[in-house]
Amino acid sequence: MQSSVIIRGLYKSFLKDIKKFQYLSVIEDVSIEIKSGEFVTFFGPNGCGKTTFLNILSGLLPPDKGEVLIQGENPGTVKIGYIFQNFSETLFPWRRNIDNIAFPLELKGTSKAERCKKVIELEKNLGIEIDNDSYPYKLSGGQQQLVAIARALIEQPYVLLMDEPFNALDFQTRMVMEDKILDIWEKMKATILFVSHDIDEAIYLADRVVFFTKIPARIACTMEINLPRPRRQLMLTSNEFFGLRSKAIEIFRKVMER
Amino acid sequence: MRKEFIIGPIAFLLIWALLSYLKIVNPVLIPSPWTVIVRFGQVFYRGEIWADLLATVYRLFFGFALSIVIGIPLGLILGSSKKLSDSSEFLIDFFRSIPASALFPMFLLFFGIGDKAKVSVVVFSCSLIIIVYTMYGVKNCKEARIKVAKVMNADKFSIFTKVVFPESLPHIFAGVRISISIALILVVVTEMFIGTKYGLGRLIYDSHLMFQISTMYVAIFITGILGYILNKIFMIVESKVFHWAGK
Repeated sequence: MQSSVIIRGLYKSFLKDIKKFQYLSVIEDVSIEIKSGEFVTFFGPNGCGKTTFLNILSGLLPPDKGEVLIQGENPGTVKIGYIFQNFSETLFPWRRNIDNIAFPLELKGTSKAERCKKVIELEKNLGIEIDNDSYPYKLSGGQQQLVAIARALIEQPYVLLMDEPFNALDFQTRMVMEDKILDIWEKMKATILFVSHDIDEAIYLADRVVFFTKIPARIACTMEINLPRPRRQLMLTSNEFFGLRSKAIEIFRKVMER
Repeated sequence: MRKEFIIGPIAFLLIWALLSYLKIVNPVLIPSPWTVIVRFGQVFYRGEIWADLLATVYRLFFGFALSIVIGIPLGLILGSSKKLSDSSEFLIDFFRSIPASALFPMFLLFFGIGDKAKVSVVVFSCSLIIIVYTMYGVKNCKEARIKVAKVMNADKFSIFTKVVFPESLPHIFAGVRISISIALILVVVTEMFIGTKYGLGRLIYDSHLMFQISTMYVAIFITGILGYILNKIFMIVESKVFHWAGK
């Protein structure tokens, strides 16, 4: 299978103190290839530069050095879906749910009837039920995040970037949403890059877990997850899962010691 | 409104009636509620009030409309650029600190005693309020929403019209609602001090001079009712249209 996302020699630093000319290096020499249709989670300590990493991939930030190719093109020119942790702050509360999901189509100038049709079609394909005529703030947290996910998927992006998307949800909703995103991923055959700071979540969802070091983020190592699919929450109690989990924690401890 | 709302006004009228019946306060200063209510009916029935009421409403809305036309675009422009808002912040705060009443003589010099002077006072104060609220609305847009729109390849114009502007509308509207109350205060005061033939402020002042106390109270009540209705209309629109504000 051809690589969908290619990242080569990525560097990024921020100006910390303009007078002293001090720079804070956030990302150093990150290279990775991600296959089309792969579900990759990125795991690392808090504040290690995971969000910066996704911001570069989405084209919001330019890298200092290195290259990002998504489907052979630079970010900023290709269609990318980006899901944030603070979903209520990324939805548009003045728009009905249907108009939130249709927002990318509206930017393109798609007609109202066409937008409506596409949203309903997408919701059917994803197997999600959203009260289209209601407003985001009237929905539960999980439902709001589903609106955000639907909005990111309406244009059929090449990759879906997710930045700790389920952090603000309660435990039960989070379990439901994890299975929902796996379900969506299988249905849409999407390529997903998912940042998490929950090791269970990172293993449970992924084909491959990428471990970042402390800031500046480098790739410490990657771990293939060969748990069978489709995955169910019950697997979180299996011996296989525990084996992977202890291995992951071992890796993480080494990462933090360095 | 709950049905208990009627208790307050009834208690108010009873205390008022009691004060005037027992002559606790000089009856010349506080006529009986009945006298005032009769006078209230009279001014409308005889049509005496219309010229004053319309003059005040006209100045009010003219000044108010001009303030919106000036304030919102300026606020949007100043709020969108950090450089512009930083460099104008001091000036706006300073002018906002000048009580509008201190400017009556200046506007009198500029525009004479006509409506222009009165409307200018309103525009000066209200457009500054609207500018400040609009700037605040624009500056307080959630960064994440703009980020999302950027990821979707929205151009600057679309980000402004589809994200920043709608998000700042509740703030803009709050500024507009506050300005209509301030505008009413200023119109009534300017009518008292900047000579005019008609206007509620003029009616209040003249009837006080001529000792037509019940007419004075009637004019005060009408001004109050006008302010109340305007504020209520804006509040209702606010809760209906901007039900999503702050979510």
